[in-house]
Amino acid sequence: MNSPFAPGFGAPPLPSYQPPPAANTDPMSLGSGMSASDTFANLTRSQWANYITQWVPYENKLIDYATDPTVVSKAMQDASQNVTGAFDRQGAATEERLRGLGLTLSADEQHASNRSLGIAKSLADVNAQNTARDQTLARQQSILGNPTPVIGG
Amino acid sequence: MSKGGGQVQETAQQRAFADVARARLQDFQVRWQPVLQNFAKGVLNANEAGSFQRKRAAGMVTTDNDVAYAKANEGLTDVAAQTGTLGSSRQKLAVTGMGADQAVSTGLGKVAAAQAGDNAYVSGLGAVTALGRGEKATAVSGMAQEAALSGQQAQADADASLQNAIGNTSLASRIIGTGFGLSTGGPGGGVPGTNDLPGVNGTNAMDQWLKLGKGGD
Repeated sequence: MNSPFAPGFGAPPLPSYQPPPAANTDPMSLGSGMSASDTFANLTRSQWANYITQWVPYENKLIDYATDPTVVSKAMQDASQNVTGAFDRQGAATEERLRGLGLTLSADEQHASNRSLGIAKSLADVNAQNTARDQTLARQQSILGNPTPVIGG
Repeated sequence: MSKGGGQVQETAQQRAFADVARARLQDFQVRWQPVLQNFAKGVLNANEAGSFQRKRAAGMVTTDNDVAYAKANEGLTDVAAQTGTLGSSRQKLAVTGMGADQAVSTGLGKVAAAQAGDNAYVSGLGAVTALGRGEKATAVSGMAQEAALSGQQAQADADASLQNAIGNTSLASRIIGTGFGLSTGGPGGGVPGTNDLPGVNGTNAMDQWLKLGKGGD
């Protein structure tokens, strides 16, 4: 049985939890002979087992998100793709708009437009990746309990 | 526990407590745990790359920018017509420049939407783990916030782009009654759109973007 505590970031897995055997571990049992103390004991075991099986996997996902360095690089890659996709889409839209106005760019105008477009795209790409990196790192740190440092006033 | 004859026997109250505890756990497992499990699955599903929530957020960014910049382009054309610069190089470069501005706004808007989705995912997971610890938690919906943010930012960027385009074509001094209510300050100033950002004008739109983009979750 896979240990529910097995972290996703390469650390050696912890031993799997094995509840101690009991003659009757069903806390819902209304069979005769189960004392109140036995009932409470079984309820405690049942709650712990339920926590292990139901909720620990989600804690592991949170831990993985906070400690996986690829989360940051993936966020930066997605941000760059968003900017690239937006510029690709907008290029076609702008050409269509110019055609709708009956305008045609001369060679010089096209060159100037391409140059400014390239600069804008590069700046937006860098800004997007920096924003994605900073916000993802801050999010990871907040999960670990470290507040985002505030620089300046 | 009561004592008698060397034996410790359970009291009726202890047995009642045990019955109640058993019933409460059963009630939780029957009524509430399925709801919590569905909530957890919803959090995980919403975080998927092609999830409905992420697609909708990205789509709203694109739509909001299209709407805002369509109005800005109309304003640019009207200004060019009124000032007699239709078909000039300045108008052409203003159109292409506004296209670049729209691409920047859309791209960065999608990045903000993705980050808001990640915030919602982490908040949701945090709520789930808190529920698992028996603590009361609240889940923050990041998608709704980022949807409103994208509309406001799109309008602010469109306003800034139009002001820059007018400035580049040297048309500002020759504008006579455009009818679009172009202004440079005050709440609700700028090209009217679907989402007016109070207190934002064309000159400080970028500053607002930087503030909102970094803290808009």
